[in-house]
Amino acid sequence: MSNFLHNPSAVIGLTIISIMILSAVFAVQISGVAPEYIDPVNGRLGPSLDHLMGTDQLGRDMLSRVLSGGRQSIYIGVLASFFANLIGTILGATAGYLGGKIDAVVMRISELVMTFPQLILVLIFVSLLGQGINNVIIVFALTGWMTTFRLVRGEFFSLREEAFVEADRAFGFSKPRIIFRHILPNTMSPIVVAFTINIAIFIIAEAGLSFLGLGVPVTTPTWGNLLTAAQNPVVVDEYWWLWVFPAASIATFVLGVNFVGDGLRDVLDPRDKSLIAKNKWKTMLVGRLGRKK
Amino acid sequence: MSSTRTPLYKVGQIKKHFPVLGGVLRRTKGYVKALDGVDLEVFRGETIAVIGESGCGKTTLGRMLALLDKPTGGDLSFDFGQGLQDVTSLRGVDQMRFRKKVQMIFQDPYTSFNPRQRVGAAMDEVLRVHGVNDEAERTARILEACEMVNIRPEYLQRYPHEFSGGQRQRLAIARCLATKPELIIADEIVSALDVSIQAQIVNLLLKIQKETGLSFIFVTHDVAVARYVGHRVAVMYLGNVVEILPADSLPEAAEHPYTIALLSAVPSMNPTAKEQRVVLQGEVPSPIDMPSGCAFSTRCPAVMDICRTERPVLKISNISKGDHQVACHLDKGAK
Amino acid sequence: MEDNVGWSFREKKVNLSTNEDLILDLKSVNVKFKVEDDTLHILRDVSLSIPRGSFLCVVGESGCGKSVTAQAIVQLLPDNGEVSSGDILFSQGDKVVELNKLEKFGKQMRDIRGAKIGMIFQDTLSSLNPAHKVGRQVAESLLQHFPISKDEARTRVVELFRKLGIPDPERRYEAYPHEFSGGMRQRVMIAIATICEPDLVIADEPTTALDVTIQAQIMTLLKDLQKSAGKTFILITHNMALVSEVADHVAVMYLGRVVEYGAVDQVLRDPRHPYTKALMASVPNLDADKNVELQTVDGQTPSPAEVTVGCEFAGRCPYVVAACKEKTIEMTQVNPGHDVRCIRLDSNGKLPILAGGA
Repeated sequence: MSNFLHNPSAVIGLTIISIMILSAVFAVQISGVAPEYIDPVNGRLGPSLDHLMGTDQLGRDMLSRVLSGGRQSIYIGVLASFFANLIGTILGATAGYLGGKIDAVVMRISELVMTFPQLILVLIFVSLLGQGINNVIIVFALTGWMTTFRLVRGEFFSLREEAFVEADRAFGFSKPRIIFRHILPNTMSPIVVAFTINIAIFIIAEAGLSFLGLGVPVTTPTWGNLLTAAQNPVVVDEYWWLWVFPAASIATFVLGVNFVGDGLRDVLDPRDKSLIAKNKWKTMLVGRLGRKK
Repeated sequence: MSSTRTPLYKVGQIKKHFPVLGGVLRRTKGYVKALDGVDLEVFRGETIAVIGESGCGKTTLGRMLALLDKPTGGDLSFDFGQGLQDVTSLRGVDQMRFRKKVQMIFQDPYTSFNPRQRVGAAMDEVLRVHGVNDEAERTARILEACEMVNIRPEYLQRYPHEFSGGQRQRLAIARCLATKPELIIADEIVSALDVSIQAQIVNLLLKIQKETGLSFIFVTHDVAVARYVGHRVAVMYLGNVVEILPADSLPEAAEHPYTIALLSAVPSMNPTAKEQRVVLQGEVPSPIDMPSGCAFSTRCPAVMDICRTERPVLKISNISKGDHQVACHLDKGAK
Repeated sequence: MEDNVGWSFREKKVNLSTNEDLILDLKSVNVKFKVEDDTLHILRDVSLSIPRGSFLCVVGESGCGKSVTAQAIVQLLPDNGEVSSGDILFSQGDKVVELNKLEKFGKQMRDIRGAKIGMIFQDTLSSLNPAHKVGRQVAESLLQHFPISKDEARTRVVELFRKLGIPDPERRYEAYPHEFSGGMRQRVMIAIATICEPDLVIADEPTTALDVTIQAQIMTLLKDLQKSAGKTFILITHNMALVSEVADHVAVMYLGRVVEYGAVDQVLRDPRHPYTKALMASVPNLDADKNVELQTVDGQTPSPAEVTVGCEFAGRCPYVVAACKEKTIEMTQVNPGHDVRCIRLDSNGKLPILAGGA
């Protein structure tokens, strides 16, 4: 933990995302007005003291919309990442440990999903399931598990050869026990890192989707569907506040998440630090010259 | 041969052949014969030291005896108390019964414990899985085992990385002892340790055997340690046991040319040791490309024609009789 | 059986006169390593005088600094290590060079490394470049130091392979490291180390990972090089039995200090230092008496940071008294050529009898 706090970019990242999450939760309180509140008289106003981020064509306060948009986007990002990681972990653990036919089958499935252009896949799912926040999460989880799967599978391939796993087998431990109670805890660090990185990925994915009008319908603001405003070149030119703020929010949050992810990766190094610290001087001396047979 | 005693564990012509696939169609090109017909008997209360060089199959044998790998041929039978029973077909509860009786300790002390689990919890888990449901009993057994290996009970709260290599091996021994086994397979357990720590572990094993009457299969490449630790020594070469003899009778009573060469290659501190040593030429042949007849025929200094065509069988030595078995054609022409 | 008879290692040892021609002289060498915020004192006042043409073995267990000594000599210490004091004098013909004063990767040092001092490592798999053919790797060493043609280099390498017992040397020149067995790879390493015909060869646990029959082959080779080519060897090992067979001299190290030094017959037959004695008694010999328990040393080697004053072995020594922990112990001579670092030796250079037997 202390190592994490020593890493300046990690701390910055943590600060950024904390601030943004809090402001998303307290969107209404901060902006003072509800995001749906329509006030056509004051439509299309640039940023001012009353409306820090201006208003849109219906007079809705942009600050309120951007902040509460954050609520949805972050919610989608976190949940999609969680479920994608869950699927990827379970499949990766099973395929990685059992190998053989099961691994071959799951690998082929993952390759199939991966080779499909993601957009097409998403379109197919969306047309099947319809739009909406929860559907977006489902779609992302179903199309985004492969990287975690590969990661966990790789870890399991190497860890299952470790002596303590052999010892578990020699003691007659059941396969599920070995997989979930023994090997999995040793793979937590890469999984946690993947989780944070995926949050960023899915937020951007949602933005792209909603920008195309396929994600969350405009009634509930998300950073992504706020960007649909930018489909109109006039808006891009003359009413810049309608898209710059959502875009900047996405970029800032993603940056923050990436910083945190990098920091976590440094901290949660699989090689236990204390082992090395204690025997470090010996490890130094023995070095790569190896141990006896 | 001790024909009156029934062995605790009997290995009958165990084979382990790994297919080598090749070509586009992944056809079986040949086999790596890691074990090619191994016979061995382990009796209660004895330590058999299995020695041999790289590629001889001793580690494969150890793992097979712990049922970590399935043999491709031959039988494995264990005496649970009512005579020998085949173990390769055991499943579920019966296999668990076997695993309680036959335990294994591995070579690398640094990875044989789950790094994320406290050592006490690891031992506790083993006992739980083996059906010791009473917590008090588990604790008692663990403490007893720790005492026998000289590990203080308060250390059980620690993680594996907080211990040295020697301590970890002792913990591994304790973990096995807690299940009250009858046989422990020790696969090169001292090879990765400093020499003075090796001595600690060796002394410990001997003490344990004296106090509990356990049997040990001690796999090692160190001939001197094998002789010191074992009651009998089994010498392996390229997947076969070529000689089994009482440890005390080493090195003089060795008959198989490979054993003799192996023994003479061991550096000795004895200033009056033989002036001349047998230095074998060449390398161990690949286990895929096994020579026909005796596996050692390609390097044997005493090779005869029959050696190249007929594989010698392990049988009681004509020369020393008693508890001494050799697989060599030289034996036929007893002096 | 004639073909299989190897060297009798117990031939007459190198005859030492007092006027020795030293090839390497380490004088009070200290090496420190920077680890995080601490500085660890890894080599402590190591002094070794190595006569030309002799075979020295440096023994000790993990953490004693034997490998670091080798690294220090050829200036291949890791970035965080340095020779903090002392001299490493190398005799090149009539010139004496102070190795530790040379620039680590300067021309002079690079000329010496490989050409004048050869090194053999334990782990052949990582010491050889897996992407290059072995012949080329050996030839590279030659081409770096001598202005000869590639063809000429190849010829010499193939010839050396033949001498070192690598079968089919012409073809094996083109092979990759992973195509060789461990013993053959070690021969390749020996080829790299000796192709430029250095006067001094340092071998760091070269046979520890090899089978004992292969070890016998390799040791035969090395002794052959010593006898026929007059090379000086420093062999680093933990195997006392091997030492007794191949060494002329032996230096026993513990936690960075040489605790005993002398001719091999003296030290191994009549060890005086408590650590040496314990080490000898903890290894079972082929004719060991099974009724005698192996001697062990309590505890384990401490970290260098834990021992800063007094004898490094004091924490585990059965002969320890208060004085042992007070100041640095000096070497005392117990016999000509046999030095021991222990204050518990009496006027005859012997340790006292412990109550309860030792």
